[in-house]
Amino acid sequence: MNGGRGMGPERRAFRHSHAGSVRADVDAELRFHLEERIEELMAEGMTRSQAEEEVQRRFGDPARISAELETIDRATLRRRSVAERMQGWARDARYAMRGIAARPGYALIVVLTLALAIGANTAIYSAVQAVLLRPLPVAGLDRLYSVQSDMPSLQLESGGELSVGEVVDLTKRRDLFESFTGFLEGNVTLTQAGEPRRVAITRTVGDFAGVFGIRPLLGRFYAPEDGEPGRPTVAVIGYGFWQEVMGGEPSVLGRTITLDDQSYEVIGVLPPEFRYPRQAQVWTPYVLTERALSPQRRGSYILTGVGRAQPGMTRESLEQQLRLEVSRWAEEWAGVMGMYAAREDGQGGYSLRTMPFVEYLAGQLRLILYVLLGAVSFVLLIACANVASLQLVRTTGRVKEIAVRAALGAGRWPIVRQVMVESLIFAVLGGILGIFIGWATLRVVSRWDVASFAILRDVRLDGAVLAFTAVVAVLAGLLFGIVPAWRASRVEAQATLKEAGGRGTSSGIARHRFLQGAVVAQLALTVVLLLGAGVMLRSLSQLLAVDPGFRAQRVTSLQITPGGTRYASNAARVAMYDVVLQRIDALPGVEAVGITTTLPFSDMIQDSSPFQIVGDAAPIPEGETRHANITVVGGDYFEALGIPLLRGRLFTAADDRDAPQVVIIDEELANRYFPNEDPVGRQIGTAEHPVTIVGVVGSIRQRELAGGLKATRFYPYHQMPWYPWAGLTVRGTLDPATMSAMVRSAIRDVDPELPVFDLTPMQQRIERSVGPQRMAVTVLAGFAALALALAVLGTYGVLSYSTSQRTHELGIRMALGAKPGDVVQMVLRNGILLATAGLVTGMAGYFLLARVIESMIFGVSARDPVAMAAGLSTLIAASLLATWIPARRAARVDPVVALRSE
Amino acid sequence: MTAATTRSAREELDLLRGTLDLLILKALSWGPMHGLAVLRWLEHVTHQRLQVEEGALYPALHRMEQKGWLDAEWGITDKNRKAKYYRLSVSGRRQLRAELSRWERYTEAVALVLSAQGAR
Repeated sequence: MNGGRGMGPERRAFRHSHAGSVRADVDAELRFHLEERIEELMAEGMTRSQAEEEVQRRFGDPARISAELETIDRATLRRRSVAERMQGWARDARYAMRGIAARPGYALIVVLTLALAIGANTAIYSAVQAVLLRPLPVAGLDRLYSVQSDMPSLQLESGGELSVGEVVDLTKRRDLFESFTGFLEGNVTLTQAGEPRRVAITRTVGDFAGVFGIRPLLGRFYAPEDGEPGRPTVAVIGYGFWQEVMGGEPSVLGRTITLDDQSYEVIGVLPPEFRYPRQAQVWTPYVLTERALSPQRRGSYILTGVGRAQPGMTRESLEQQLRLEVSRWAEEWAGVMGMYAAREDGQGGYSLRTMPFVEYLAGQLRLILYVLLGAVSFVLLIACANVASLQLVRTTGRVKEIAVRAALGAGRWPIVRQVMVESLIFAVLGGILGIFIGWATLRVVSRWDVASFAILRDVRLDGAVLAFTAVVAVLAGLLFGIVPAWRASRVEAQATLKEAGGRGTSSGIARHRFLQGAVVAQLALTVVLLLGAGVMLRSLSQLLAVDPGFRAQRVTSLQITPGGTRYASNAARVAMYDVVLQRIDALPGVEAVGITTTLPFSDMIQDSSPFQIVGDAAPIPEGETRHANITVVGGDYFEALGIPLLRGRLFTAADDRDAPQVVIIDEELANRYFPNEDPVGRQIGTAEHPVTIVGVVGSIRQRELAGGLKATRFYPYHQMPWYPWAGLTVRGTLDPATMSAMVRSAIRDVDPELPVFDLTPMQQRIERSVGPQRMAVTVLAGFAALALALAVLGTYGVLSYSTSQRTHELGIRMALGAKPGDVVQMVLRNGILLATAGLVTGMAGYFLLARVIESMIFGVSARDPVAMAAGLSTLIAASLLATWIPARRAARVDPVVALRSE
Repeated sequence: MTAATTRSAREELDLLRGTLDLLILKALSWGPMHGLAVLRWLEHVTHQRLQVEEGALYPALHRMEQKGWLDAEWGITDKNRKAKYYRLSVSGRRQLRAELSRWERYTEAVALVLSAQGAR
C-alpha cells in the first residue's frame, strides 16, 4: 500500500510558524489526498473527470472541510504562540527571581525604596477617595448641590446657611431641584431607663431622604409633610444608635424614644454606611410652626441647604435661576425685609451660591488633597529615578553576559523583556509592601494626631485603592525599568567583550549621562517639595499667630443641653444657669466662669439677624440691611475668655428680667454702624422694643483664624432666656484635665441628669480649627524629608559609582603628580555642578507651580524668602554631604592599586 | 473497488462517532502516516468492511494535533509528493492506552447485556 509507513519521509520538521501559511498547508494536504484518490480511480479505469466527480462525492465538500481545518489550525497556532510567550515570560521571571535571591541586600533596598513611594501614593489616594470621590454612599452624587446664602456686605459667617423660609421656598422649585432639603444639627437629652445621655439630633426641612437617596435598613424615612405642626412626632435613627442604644432589635419600629421629654415614634433605621451629617444619631422633621416661617425668622440663617438637581441642570443654569429667585424674594419681601433688594451701589447684594455637594463637603481639604496628590507623585518619580539608576548600574555589572547573548544573535526584545520582567517583579513586591506601609501609616497617624487627621477616620482600603496601587506599581515598574532595559539591549557586543566594564564605550558614556540626569531630576523635584513644605509651614505659623481676640490659655469649655420638661420654661433654665455659675465660680482655682450660646471654635450654632438702629435720621436704603450675630451670654463670659472691654460696662446682676433691655456690641459692629460716635447709650431694635447699648467689647474670631470679623451683639441671658442650649467657659489656674473634672462634678451636683459633653480646652479648639493645614504641613514635610533622603542617597550613589569607574584615570593623574586635594576638588566640582543644576531647575519648577498653593496659604506669599532660604540651604547642605564622602574616598586612592585595576 | 462493493461495504459497518479517534491513534501506533495512509490502512486491516467518511478524517487529525496527541511534520512520499505526516506524541500514546481500556470496558458491558438470558 502506498502511503509511507515511515520509510524515510524526509523529516523537514517545521510547524505552522505563522498565520499566512495555514491556508497553503491545508490546501496542500487536501490536494495530496484528492490527487492520490483520483489516480487510484483512474487506475481502475475511470476517466479523469469521472474520477474527480467520484472523489468529490466521497470526500464531501472540500471547501467546507478546508475551512474547518483552517479554523482548527489557526486556533492551534494561537494557543501555541501564547504558550510560547508565556514560557518566555516564565523563564524570565524565574531568572529574575534567582537574580533577586542572589543579591538580597540590593533587592531589599530597591523594594524598600519603591514601597515607601508607592505606600505614600496609596495613603494619599485613599484619603482622596474618602474625601473627594466617594464621601457618601449616595447614588448620583454629581447631581447634589449645596445652596448657600452669600452677602459680602453682611459677612455672613461659616457655611452660608439658609433660613427656614428660604428652604421652604426652594423646595417648591421642582423645576430646579428634584428634591431639596435644609437641616440643622443640635443636641438633645435622651431619657430612658438608665443614664440620661446626650444625643446628636438633626432636624430636617423638605425631602431629606429624596436628596440623599436614603434606603432605610428598616421601616421608612419620614416625608416632608411630617414637618407640619400637629403631625405625630416621628424619628429615624442611625445604625450605630440602633445597635448601641436601642439594642439592635428589629422590634424597634414603633417604639418611642424620649428626647428632651418629648416622645418620638421610631419609624425607621438607617443603613450602617449612611452617616450624614456625620455626628447625627437621630433624624426628625423640623416643625414648621408659624413662628419658624415668620418674617422675623426669615433672616435667621440656620439651615444647611442641599438639593438634588433635575437632570440636565448645570451649575451655571442653577445659579442663574437662583438669581431670579432672589429677585422674586426681593419683590415679595419688599418693605418687610430689605435684604434681598439689590443695593444701590450694585455690589455685594444678597445672592445664592451653589457648589457641587462633594466640593462643599470637602471644604478646604479639596485643594490640600490635590496638592498632596501632586507632591506624592513627585516622590514616586524620585523613587523611580533612584531605582532606575540602581538598576542601570546593576545591569552594567552583567554586561559581559549580555554581550555574549547579543553576540550569539539574541534579538533585542528578549534582553529588554528580561530586564523589564525583573523591574516589574521589583515593582510588584514594592507595591505589596507599599500597601502595608501606606495603610499602617494612615492608622498610626490618625491615632496619634487626631486633631489634624480627623478626616482619616473614614479612609478605607477597598478595591479601588488596591486597584490604584496596582496601576501605580506597574507604571512605576515600566518607568524605572525601561531605561536599564533599553541600555542593556544596546550593549555593543564587540566593544564590551574587548574592554571590561565597557567604560569607554558610547553606551558607557550615555549611561553616565543618564545617571547624572537622574540625579539632577531627583534634586529638582526635592527642591520643589522642600520649598512647598517650607512655605506651608510658614503659613501655618502665621495662622497660629493670629490673635483670636480672646485669651485661650487656661480656659476650658463644654456644652450642656438643658432639655426636657424640667427645663421647658425659660425661668427654670435661667435658674439652673445661675446655680451652675455660682457653683463653678466657687470652685478652687476658678478665676471666672461664663455662659454663652455660641462657644468660639465649636460646632455650636451662631444665630444672627438683621437689626435696626433706633433714632436714625435717614431711613436706610433697601439692600443695606444691618445684620449681626446674636450671642446670649451670662456670668463672667467676657472675663473668662479674656475679651477686653473697650467702652462702657459689662453686664451685671442688675440687668435682669425686669430691668431695661440692654445689649453689648463688639468693636466690629461699632466701627461699621457707629463709625464716628460713641455707641454707648444709643439704642438698637425697634422704636417699640428698644435695647440700649451699654458697652463695647473687642471683636473675636468665631469660627476660624483666617477670615474677617463679623459684627456681633451680646445679650444677657436673663433678658433673652429662650435658647435651649449653652456653652460654658471656665478660666482657671489649674490644668485643663483637673478643671474639667471639677466642673463636670459641680454640674452633676446641681443636676445629675444634665448631660455634659464636648469638654475641650479652648486652646485645643483653636488648634483643631487648623487641623487640615496642620495635616498638609505634616504630610508635605514628611514627603520632603523622604524625597531629600532618596535624592541625597541617589547623589551619593552616582558620585561614588562614577568615581569608582574612574579609579584607573585617577590613579594615572596622581601618578603624574596630582595631589589628593586636586582629586577631591574634581569630585566636588562634579557634585556641586549636579546640585546647582538640580537647584536651579527645581526653583524654576517651583515658581511655575507657586500659583497652585497661593490660595492655600495665609499671611505669606508663595515666594516667601524665609521659607525659600530654609529649603534651599537644606538641600545645599545635604548635597555637600553627599558629595564630600566620595570625594574623600577618591583622594585616598592608592595610585599603584588604581593603575593596576582594570 | 467498484461502486457496488463500496455501497455494500458501507452498509456493513457504520462508524460510531468518537471511535474514529481511537482508530486513528491505533493506526498511528504502527508509525507515522499521512492522512490517506491511515484511511488505506484501516480499509486494508478491516478487509474493506469499515468505511471511514473521508471528509471526517482530516478534522479529526487536526483536532488531535491541537490537543497535542499527534505531532505533524511535512515529508515526501515515494512518489515524490509533499504530504503531511502524523505521529503519536507521548501524550498521544497515553491517550491511546486510555481509549483502549475504555473501549474494552464498553464492549464488555454491551456483551453482558446482549448475552443476558431471558427474552429473545
